[in-house]
Amino acid sequence: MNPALLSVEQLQIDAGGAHGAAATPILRGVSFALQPGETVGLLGASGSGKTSLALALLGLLPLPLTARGRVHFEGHELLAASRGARRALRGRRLAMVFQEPLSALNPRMRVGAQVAEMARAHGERDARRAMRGAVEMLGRVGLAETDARAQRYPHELSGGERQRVLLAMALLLSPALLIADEPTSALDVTVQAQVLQLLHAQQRERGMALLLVSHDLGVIATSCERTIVLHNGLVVEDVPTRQLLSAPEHAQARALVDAVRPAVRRA
Amino acid sequence: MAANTWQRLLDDRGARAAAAVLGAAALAAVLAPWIAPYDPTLQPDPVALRLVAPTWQHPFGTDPFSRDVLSRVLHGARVSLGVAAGAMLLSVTLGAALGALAAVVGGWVDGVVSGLVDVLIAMPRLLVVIALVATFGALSPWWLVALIGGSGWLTTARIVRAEFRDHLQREYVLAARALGASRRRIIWNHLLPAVAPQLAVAAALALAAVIPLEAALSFVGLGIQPPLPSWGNILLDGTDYLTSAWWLVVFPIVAVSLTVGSALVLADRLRVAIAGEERGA
Repeated sequence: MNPALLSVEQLQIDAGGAHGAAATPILRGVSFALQPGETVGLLGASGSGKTSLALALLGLLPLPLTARGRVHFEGHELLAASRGARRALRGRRLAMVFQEPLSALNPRMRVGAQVAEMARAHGERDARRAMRGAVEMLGRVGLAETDARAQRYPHELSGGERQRVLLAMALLLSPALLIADEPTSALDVTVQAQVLQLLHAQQRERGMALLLVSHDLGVIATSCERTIVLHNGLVVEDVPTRQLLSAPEHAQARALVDAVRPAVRRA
Repeated sequence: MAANTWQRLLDDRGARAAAAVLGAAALAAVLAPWIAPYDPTLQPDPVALRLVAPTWQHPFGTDPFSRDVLSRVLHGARVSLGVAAGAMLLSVTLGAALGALAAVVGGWVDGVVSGLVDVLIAMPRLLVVIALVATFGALSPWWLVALIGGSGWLTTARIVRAEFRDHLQREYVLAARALGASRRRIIWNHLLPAVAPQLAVAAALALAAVIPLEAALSFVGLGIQPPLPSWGNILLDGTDYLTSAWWLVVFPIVAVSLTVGSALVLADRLRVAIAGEERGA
């Protein structure tokens, strides 16, 4: 077997209760691995620790949360890496797309400038070249007439268009792993399907691995080969999605499957 | 639709009028040597031209030393507004830097800056400045800028710290970090533009506070020293003649009131524009 792109071993996230109070851990020892180019769903109910897991991989856990364990990514030990080293990986090798595109974009900055900002953050010195790359990237995520649209502010775009802008930012530097945290749950159903399609097309084109974080088995079932189910801070299933749908082992996984089974059958 | 706060401000007639008054005052200050009819320190005839009421030759009259009051008010604008602008820039820059530092670094740095602000803000600024001037004697205009500006950064620091902390928690900052933006990039490209309107309010308010402060210091004889004219010491020259020569008092007061009033109006219209922007109306 190839060496894994990402391997998480006994990752634990503590809430860091003040004054020695026994804090409830958010993750209680999570292990899994991702191969290059693989698409994996991370499924869990609200509060299961999905988003904290995603943020821990990027080294962006908000205080007072702290992560312990080991996270190997492309030869780096992320939890032990320096702040500067992690920052250099973020966006370039390891990128993330957030749930709510309106709040994840700077309301005061034109969207083209925000995409260009990505390149600038990673060492592009020529502002005009960064902008050309940004406009081209916006075109590739399906924002038509992009020169004009790059000049717009986030509030002037639709929800789907905004999510495409976020995707353009995340994909600009061709990361090896994209973490998408509920990338479509703020969108209506038809737009959801379009954005997921775009995500997969871009993924195939780049050979990028995708960790799709969602509470929605419907979204995961249509796109992921493998699904990891998170419950109460532990991995309770890590199986091919097909197997999860036909014979879920863990009670929580079964509940999630039963809840969406009619929808998945139709799909 | 109005794109942002600045656009809203441009569309506001009150703001435009206030900006025009301030602009005219600044222009008069800069051009004073060329537009003033006389040398502001020249005493042509202390007997015959003493305390002349406004005439065509002397539109603002003359003072007890036969100097032309219009020329003194114009040159006084140069000194008063120059000191005020310098002090305002110093206090706003200092406040923004310290407020941003406290918010971004947090921890003990935040504790020190916030504690310092809390202690210093309780001190009456005019009295502190008077005490310092009384200790060190009469000051050059540059020292006046340093003293007034160095004592005025507190509210700006508070505003910037609060705004920075608010924006640091917003998702777009997290998203920018998730894509590898450095701290410096986030501060300069995301946070400072976000607080710029609030910073402009602080600057306008600082200007409105600093013009009377300089005037007050010069009026009690601790600020700008004669024969260099400032609005405060022109007023001082006029106090003995309050009942006989009104023009000595009225013109410098009008100059102070117009500029301070305009700065206050500008601050107020800016606040309205910011509120409108946040409502998204």
